[in-house]
Amino acid sequence: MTVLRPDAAPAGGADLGASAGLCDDLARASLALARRFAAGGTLWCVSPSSTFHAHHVAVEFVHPVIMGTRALPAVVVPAGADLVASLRATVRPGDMVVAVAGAAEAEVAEAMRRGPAWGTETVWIGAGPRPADGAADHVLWLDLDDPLVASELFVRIYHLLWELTHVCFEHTGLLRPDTCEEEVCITCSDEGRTAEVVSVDDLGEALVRTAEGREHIDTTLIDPPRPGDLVLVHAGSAIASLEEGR
Amino acid sequence: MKFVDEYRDPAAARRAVEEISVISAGEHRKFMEVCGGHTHTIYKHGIENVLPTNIELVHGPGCPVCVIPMGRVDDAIALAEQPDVIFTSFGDMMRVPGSKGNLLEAKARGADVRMVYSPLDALRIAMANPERQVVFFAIGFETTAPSTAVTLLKARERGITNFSVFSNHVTIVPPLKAILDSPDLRLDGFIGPGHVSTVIGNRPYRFVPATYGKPLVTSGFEPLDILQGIVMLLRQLRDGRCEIENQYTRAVRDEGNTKALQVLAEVFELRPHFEWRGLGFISHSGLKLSPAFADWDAELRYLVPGVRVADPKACQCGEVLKGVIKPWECKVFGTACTPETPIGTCMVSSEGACAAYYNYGRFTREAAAAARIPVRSA
Amino acid sequence: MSAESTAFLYPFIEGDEHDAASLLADLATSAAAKWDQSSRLRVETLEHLDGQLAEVGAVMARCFEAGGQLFAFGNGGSATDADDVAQLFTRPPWGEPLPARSLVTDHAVLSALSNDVGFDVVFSRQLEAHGRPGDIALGLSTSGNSENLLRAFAQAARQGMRTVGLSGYEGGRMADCSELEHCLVVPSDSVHRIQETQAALAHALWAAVQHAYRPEGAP
Repeated sequence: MTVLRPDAAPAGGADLGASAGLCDDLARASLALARRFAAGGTLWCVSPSSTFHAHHVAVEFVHPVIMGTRALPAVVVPAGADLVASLRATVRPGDMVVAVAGAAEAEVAEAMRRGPAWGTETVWIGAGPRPADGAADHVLWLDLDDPLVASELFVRIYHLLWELTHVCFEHTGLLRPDTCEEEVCITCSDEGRTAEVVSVDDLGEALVRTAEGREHIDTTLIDPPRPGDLVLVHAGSAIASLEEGR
Repeated sequence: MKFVDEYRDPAAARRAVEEISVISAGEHRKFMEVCGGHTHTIYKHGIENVLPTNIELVHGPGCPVCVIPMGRVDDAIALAEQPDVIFTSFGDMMRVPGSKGNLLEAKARGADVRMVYSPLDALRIAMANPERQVVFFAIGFETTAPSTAVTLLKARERGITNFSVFSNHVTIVPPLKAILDSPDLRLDGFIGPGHVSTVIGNRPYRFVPATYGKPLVTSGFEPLDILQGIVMLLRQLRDGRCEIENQYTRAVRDEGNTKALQVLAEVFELRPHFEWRGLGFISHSGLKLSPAFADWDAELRYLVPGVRVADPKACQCGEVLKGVIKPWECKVFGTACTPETPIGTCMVSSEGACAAYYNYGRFTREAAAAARIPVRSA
Repeated sequence: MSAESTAFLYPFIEGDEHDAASLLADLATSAAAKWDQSSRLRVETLEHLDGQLAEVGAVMARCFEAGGQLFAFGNGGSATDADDVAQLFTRPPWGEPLPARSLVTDHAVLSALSNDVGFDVVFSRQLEAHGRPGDIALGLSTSGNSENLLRAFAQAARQGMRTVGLSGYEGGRMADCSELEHCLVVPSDSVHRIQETQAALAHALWAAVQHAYRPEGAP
């Protein structure tokens, strides 16, 4: 791990180049956020080990520095809270979660994994070893070990996220929800929707939450799930647990 | 059409596409995705457009709606038109044409046909209407059959007698074998079905590498999952391996869902053979209710005509289902056969290869016509 | 795109755009340009202020050696930078943990002062309560014009504290503030680019302190 030593010149220049990929990912994440904001979504900001980043993201969106740009709903999930429990209680389908955190922060990974069940768009900003592929909808990652330089560049990343999101607002035609979403045969196709168990009863049924809302499903085909577990739902039945070892 | 910005984790997807290019090194590789859900994802997210041109994806028979033969649709309509029957069906089945129209038309003529999202919903309708008979049109692979089985167990447990099931459940492994036996198709490997595999596990596919020498990778349904499945297939080919691998580890266990398999064994038994649209009769590929559930078997409760109807001559669903021809190579694609007026079943369900091509604009009616050698008609 | 002749003037009124590909390409190009711009500003500022950073770092190190502590403050995004500074000094990735606090974290104090007196005094009143001679007041502002920072520097000076400021543009009022001993300016007119380089400056200042810090008894 290379750390900025006091006797070395502060790192700069060459090693701070953004890969073309990061800029593409920023563009895509910004359009996704703009669409969700346009539809009334709220951005939940998370950074368990450096809360100041979460506060910085939120203040950018709520109180834009550029005159004429609209204030957007962004909220910090307080430090010290049970992150998953806090988000579970407050997020609504259509919301967004942005995290500034390392890949090893397990509670962040858990919050991101629940995106499909909660109906949230997830953005994970970090550096160093990457989270598992597909850990979030948007993984904005720096190939960089120095924690201080990485932290400085996180500021740059979420500033750009804010700037590009506002550029997207000028393209109103691209912000509408996808109207050509075709009718999918949700039950006969080999569909499996991710759902989070809210409560279970003794009769093998559970109340679950999905991106489309709450519903009752049958759970007799899997080992009894616990509230908070993720399950895969097909044709009204849970056909698999998405929890390790169950 | 969707945009690549809607891929989950585009950075990881980009790395997978790069690796596909590097490993395949320009060599032509042909993989079949067995499952209709995969076909749907591939079109919806334009996966063929991000892959190098030497990687060809062939669409398999994995759409339960597409493989229902016309005769079974005629039987369903006959059941729906029985007096006092409430006929329940998944949405896509309603538009599938039999030889004399579809279920929606039967509904328009006065039959009580209702769309449901799960077999349990059909059972709830039966409980709410004790004076009526409720028939559920059961279709689907090993993923859906357990839900039907659970529903039948509940019906028996609660003593609900005004409910019956018209079973058209089929299994995916027999047609996979039929495709491997087919001389007109050369494949380099298979993308195995994800959610079927949550139920049956990975073991039933062992014959694919063992007997036929083809690798199979079970994959999830996100675009990233499919790309990673292709990477894993290519790595096997590069390393000279040929085995069953599991990309979809977050949901699929090797042994499958043992509870679901138990329930299936209790409620269903194999038919000696079952007709697949375009593929003909395939041995041991259909499920009917076991004798213990005879009281809930619509085929025993009602006199089902059971007439076999030949597929329309012009329709080439069979070749499409086997991956022998691409949808736009069918004579009627986009002209006589469209999602609004489907002739073949592949054009009905959004998981069907033809409808997917048509809906996502890969080939418009005009492009299809241009791509085809015109046939002079009288 | 519509065929209306005014479309090029008012693109934000266009509602019938439906191909995101060109927008995404523009956004990526814009992101890359701003990224490079930020990288250049960062390198140039760090190089330009290299001597000053070492000097201020040494001044701050003497304060810490003598038992002083650091108070960091700012508004908005700069408030989060103040939190960053406090966290970095007290829980550093390497080197010596040093006493530092952010003056923006206590919402009871902030709201009481704002409500009862006014927001201009939120930092100066806290310094009045906590500051001792030999402590350090570190204020961050992108404009250099924040009234509550200027008042805080004046209060700190009255109490015999050392004063350090991070500013942007051409320094703003902080550049002319006689009570502010050291003012490190990021020469840019973009609030975002200033803030990005200020984060780097704050970290470099911390590194300079660690470099110069010689606790009692050490060689």
